[in-house]
Amino acid sequence: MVQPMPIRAMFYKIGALQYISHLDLVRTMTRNITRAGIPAWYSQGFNPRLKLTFSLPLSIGTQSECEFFDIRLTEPMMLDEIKARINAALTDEMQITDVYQSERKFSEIAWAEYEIRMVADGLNGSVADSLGELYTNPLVVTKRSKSGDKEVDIAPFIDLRFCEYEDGGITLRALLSADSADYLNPEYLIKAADSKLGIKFEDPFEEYYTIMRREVYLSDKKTVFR
Amino acid sequence: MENLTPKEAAERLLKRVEKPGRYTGGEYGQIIKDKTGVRARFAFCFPDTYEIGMSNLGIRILYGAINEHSDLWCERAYTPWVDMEEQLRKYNIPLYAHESGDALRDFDFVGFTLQYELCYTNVLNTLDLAGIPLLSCERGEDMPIIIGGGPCSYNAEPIADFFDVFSIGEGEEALPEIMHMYADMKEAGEYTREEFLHRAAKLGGFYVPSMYDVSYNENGTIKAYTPKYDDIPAKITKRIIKDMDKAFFPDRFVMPYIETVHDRIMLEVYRGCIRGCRFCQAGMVYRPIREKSVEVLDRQARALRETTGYDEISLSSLSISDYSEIDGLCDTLLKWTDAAKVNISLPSMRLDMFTKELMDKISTVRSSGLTFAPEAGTQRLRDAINKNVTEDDLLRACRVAFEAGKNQVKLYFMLGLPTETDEDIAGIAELAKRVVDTYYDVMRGVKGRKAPTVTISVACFIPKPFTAFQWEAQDTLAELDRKQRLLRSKINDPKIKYNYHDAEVSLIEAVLARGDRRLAPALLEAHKRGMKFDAWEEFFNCSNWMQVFSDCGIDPSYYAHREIGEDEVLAWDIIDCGVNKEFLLRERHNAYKSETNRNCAEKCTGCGANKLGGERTWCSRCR
Repeated sequence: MVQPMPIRAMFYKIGALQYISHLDLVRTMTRNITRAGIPAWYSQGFNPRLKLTFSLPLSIGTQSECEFFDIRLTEPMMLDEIKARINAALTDEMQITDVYQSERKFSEIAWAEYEIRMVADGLNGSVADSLGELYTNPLVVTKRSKSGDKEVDIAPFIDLRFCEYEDGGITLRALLSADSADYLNPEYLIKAADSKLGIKFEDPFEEYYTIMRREVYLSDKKTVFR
Repeated sequence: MENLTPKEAAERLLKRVEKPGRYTGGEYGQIIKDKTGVRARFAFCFPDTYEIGMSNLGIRILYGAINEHSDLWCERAYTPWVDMEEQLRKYNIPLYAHESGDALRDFDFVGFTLQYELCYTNVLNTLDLAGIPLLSCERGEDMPIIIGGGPCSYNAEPIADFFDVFSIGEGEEALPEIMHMYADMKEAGEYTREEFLHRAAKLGGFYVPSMYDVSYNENGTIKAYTPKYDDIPAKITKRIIKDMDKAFFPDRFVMPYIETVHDRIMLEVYRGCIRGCRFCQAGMVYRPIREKSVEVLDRQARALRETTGYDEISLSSLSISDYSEIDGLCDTLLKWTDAAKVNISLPSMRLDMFTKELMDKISTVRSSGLTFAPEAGTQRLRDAINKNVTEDDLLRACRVAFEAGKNQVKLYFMLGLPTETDEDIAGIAELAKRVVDTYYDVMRGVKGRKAPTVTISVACFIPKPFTAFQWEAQDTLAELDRKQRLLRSKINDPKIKYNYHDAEVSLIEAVLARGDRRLAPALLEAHKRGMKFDAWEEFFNCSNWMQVFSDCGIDPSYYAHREIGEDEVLAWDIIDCGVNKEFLLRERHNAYKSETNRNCAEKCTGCGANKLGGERTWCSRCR
């Protein structure tokens, strides 16, 4: 038997689809691929399952421009056709941007770049400066993990690249650790802004924040993961 | 606040609620139209959560059937869970439809499917969240027409005051028809609510409660239903689709992102039921039986597999093994489903039709257990309810299951059935014991055999309109409690697990199922006191209901515990579901004699539903 050919798809998940959990994404993507008529490889056994692996899970409430999944093909199909077919089986807020072959393993992803936009009462340039200070100095937060809550200094997992007040809100860009051992959920930055600087998001129509995962990198923080 | 649609506004709240995917819409397969290019808009509302509503096949069919018409647009709405309700109320966001995000109150029609009585408080709460006046008589000319349908509409009297119109029977053709009539009237400048409802009442298959006055006798029973106009029918005959092969069936589904209750292809094989179980409403109101052909079913299954990507096809009907070509259908589907890695499941199998051959074909075998419904513990009572299965049938079916390696069986029973004695109740425990014994008989000498589990799940009998038992009294709570304890005392084998339904829930269901228009103030009051999601254990509260009834001067026992006289006018006499009252009466008297009747495949029993016509019916084969 010919070895099933592994292929990788890069996709975005934005808008209302930021509220679809990772588990739900896995289940629906299986159907999307089936619906698209992709000759995808199934695991063997009593209950065959479509073999589908995702990169870094995305938390509910975070949008992303750089998500990935791997499948394997049991028969050849043009990569462009795979992309077109799956996209036809998806909606506007989730579309494949590229389909290709790759040697890189998902475990090589070490950093993810996020763009966070905060709009709230009382934000200005000096609050932006304070936020910049906050994220570049030791920052102890209560981090939830399977083994319980822990006090952790998350500063080593934050690499702040940009933090400015513009257009009535604060925009910040940061690389956060995406390593499986030290994965930092961007929501911790929001929580820290609240607990340390009192930035609140109470009235959802006046005060809100959005998070977009823009890019993922290897451990050198320079090489883009693909 | 910027200029947001209600849905866009609601999206700002999604970080604050659990399961936000319930409210986002945007699923693959949803139908978006240009609202300026359609003549009438319909919001199809399921008065429970998204996960339950999205699992309903009826809505999927009607959603497609309305949207087939390019000049009509049907969208979906669900009742928000309490956390989202709190947010919507806090920020004054009216309930919206998922596709356009527009407020329900801006639609031409808001339809509710009424699948169970305990959704009534949710219907009111949903209307309230939509900013639509609850009472039909309080709605102005600019408000949508509120239309109900589904099984509870066969006796919708307790909620009649809240609805403008009910669609009686099958809606695939009826709903587009009434929407077109509405659009025609609007465009011709002839529309007023009163004129529209008057014409709807004449259309056939539509019940407009406000067009009928109800009078009562001194003893509180119903005297008469009097039409307000001479030109509207005294009785509303339900609509049916005559030829199921030609009926609309969706070739695509809206695909939920979040997990729903029935997340699979549901293929409707036939409508109606040949069995005449005397407690069963569905078995009567969906008559006559109309089957689809194997060829059409195969085509529909293939189309849905392609457009959905689901890996399971559930063959759904009231009693799937009664489909006249069940073997042929399974064989035809299996020609391609195995290669496509699609499982077939048969969720409603009668135990007397359960064979090794059928079991080998289907994927239900993958689960470790099987479910059967003998309903009663003794042959006498099974005969009285016309279940037409014997103990031998059950033990044979269990034997087949055990031989195939199963060790779990679930059995459904009912307590409080008419003519039931304590002997019948003890019979439930004895039957379960013999199932356990059968397991050890089959597994004799097998090394490493597991212990069996026989679960008996016991519901309480609820007298339902349009059944042979519609006149019967329900047992009181005290009597049901005594019976539940009695059964518990008869079970002394740890391999038998005993579950029973909350009798208090069944009492409220009985009141609402056989209720009349005098219950409306109680429902309104229940809503005002914040009662909702009564079908959910964590929200149902019987003492709250009792308090409401008491405060409204309503005696719930009048509706639940009273034997209705055979000559009384019934609240649901206004509806003609096809099956006639004489047949139901005959069946009631057969029950008292513990006499069974034939099923439609054997012999016509003259229920009357054949007057409605239909293709591929058993009626036509008998004729």
